Amino acid sequence: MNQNTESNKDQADKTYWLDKPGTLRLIIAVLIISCIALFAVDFFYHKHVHYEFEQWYGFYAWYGFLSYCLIVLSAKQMRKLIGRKEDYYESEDPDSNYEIDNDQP
Amino acid sequence: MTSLNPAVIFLLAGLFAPFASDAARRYIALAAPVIGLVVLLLTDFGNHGAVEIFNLQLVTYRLDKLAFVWALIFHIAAFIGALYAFHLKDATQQTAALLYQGAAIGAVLAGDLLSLFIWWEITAIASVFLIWARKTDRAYRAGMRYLMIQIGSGVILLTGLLIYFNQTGSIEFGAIGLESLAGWLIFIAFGIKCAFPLLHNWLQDAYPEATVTGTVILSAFTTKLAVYALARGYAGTEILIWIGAVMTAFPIFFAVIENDLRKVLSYSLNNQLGFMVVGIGIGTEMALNGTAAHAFSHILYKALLFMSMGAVLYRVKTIKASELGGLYKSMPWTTVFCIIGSLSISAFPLFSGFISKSMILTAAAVEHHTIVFLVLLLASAGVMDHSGIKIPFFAFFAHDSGKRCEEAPKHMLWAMGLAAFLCIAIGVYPQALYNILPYPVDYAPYTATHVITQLQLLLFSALAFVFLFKTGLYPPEIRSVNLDTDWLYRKAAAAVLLPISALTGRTTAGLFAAIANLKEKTLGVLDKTVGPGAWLSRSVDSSNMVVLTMGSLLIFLLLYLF
Repeated sequence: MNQNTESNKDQADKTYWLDKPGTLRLIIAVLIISCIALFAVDFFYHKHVHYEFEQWYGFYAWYGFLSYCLIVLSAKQMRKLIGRKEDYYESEDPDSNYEIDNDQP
Repeated sequence: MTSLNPAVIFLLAGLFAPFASDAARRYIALAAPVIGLVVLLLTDFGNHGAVEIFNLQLVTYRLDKLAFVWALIFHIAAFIGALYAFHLKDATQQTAALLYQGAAIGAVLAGDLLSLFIWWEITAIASVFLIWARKTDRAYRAGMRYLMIQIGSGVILLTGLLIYFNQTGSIEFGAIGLESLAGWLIFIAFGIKCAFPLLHNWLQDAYPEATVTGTVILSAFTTKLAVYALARGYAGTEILIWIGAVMTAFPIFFAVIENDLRKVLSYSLNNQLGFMVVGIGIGTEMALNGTAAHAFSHILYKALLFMSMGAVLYRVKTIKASELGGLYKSMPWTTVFCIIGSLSISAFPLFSGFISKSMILTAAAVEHHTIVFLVLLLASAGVMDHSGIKIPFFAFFAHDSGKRCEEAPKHMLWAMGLAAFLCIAIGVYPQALYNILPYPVDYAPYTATHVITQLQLLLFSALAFVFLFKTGLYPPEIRSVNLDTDWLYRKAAAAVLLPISALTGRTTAGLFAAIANLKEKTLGVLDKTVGPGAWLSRSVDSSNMVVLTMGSLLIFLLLYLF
């Protein structure tokens, strides 16, 4: 157990690749460039699709983007209606970790 | 070559397991699916195990192409589950898991409705122990609610099959349809287990309360058994298209704001079932192939996601998104496996979801179900949110919660690794899966159009996440619960029934008190009059008696004279 705590401390002090400020910016930059590229591709190939609307330039791109925003933002509003405190039905069991402690290998 | 039902192997293992030592039991759990699989692969397609009881023709073992897909993936899931639970020294859970898996396999191999019903009920009863094994009061109550609903489904199935038998004189489990009351009853029984909208909430209520390993095992069998049963009995039933479309859409909203990540996955499971149900409703060969393929790949990536979240719960002792974050530092392997599960469920090219879900969408488009097609596309963007981004992001990345732990135990990593390997293998080489589907496959998933449009949909969804998260519009993870239909029985019904029950209790108690009071009073009066020492029971002096007799004679005489 002591060893674990020490190695955990080591872990906490270590700097990880995602902690470097540049990494996250790089990931987002790659994502944006990929999106631009994917949108642009629509002008250069013939789509084999079933519906007329699928032929629109970037249909899947904006449909994905807007669906995502619609879902997340309306769910956020829904929370006002159906969100309750954590102990609404029942309080947290004091023994809720029982099983987890009990069967350490 | 053989006609031994693989379910029997699981049942025997399950009956033997409680008497085995802890060390032996884990190997029994691993061996049962391996032996079962060998037996399954050695069996010729056709009907086996025909029995006649009371003029009922039972076909206890029917192996055809449809049943084979489910039987195969159930064996794989049972093996992965046993590997993941290799550390367990809990006879209850291990036995329950074996019986549950065996019953699910027995049910998909059942050729008649009565055998199906029996297996159906065993899955319900055996599986609840995977919830109760958590040994908390919460889990006990959740398990009770789960059991009532599951048994309820069985009772409706039994009623339906009796009426069906009465009308048709047959209990063969084939196409049933909705032309009769019996058809509807069986449909509803299947629908409960399949978590149809408004009948769904047992799933999100119970699965997150089960044990770390229990949820992984539960996630594979019950609902997919129901999908199989619907595919067998109700292929091409149009109402299923709409039920399925609603099922893909509504759970995603709940998943976005749910804090318990295993509950998020339960909503996500519900949403994935929706795709399969749409496929059954369309009912064309391509759609049914899509449903079978999607059930197959879904069981793998859903188990993988539940395993990764189980490992987090196992190590960190909580699975609430609001308490987690930054765990990639402590659990890099689990993180990688979770991301593979996320990419698979989101249907990225080269992962399993890509080659199965698209068959259902294409089938919907081919049959000109335009609205349903658009709903499925919307739901696909929703999957990208709750399972593709939310699960890995809030558990392993997001803000660093400061929590540090060990990596998941080795056997859990092996189980996750195996599931992850299969997710990628199916994605890269779909032909292997297509070859075992019920109908010949005339579908090529890797066309330029499909790859590009799918990547557009997914990456622009991811872009939307970055946009919403960076602008602070993305709903934060907060400690909360959200109301769902379980509110109807946990609060509303309780609010109505508890006072009635209390009133009945009070009335009964009052009535009993009144009776007791009456008894006391009567006894008191009796006691005063005829009880020991009361005036009627007093032993009196015989001279008094003489005086009394004389007195009464005197009164008699006086009355006579006048």
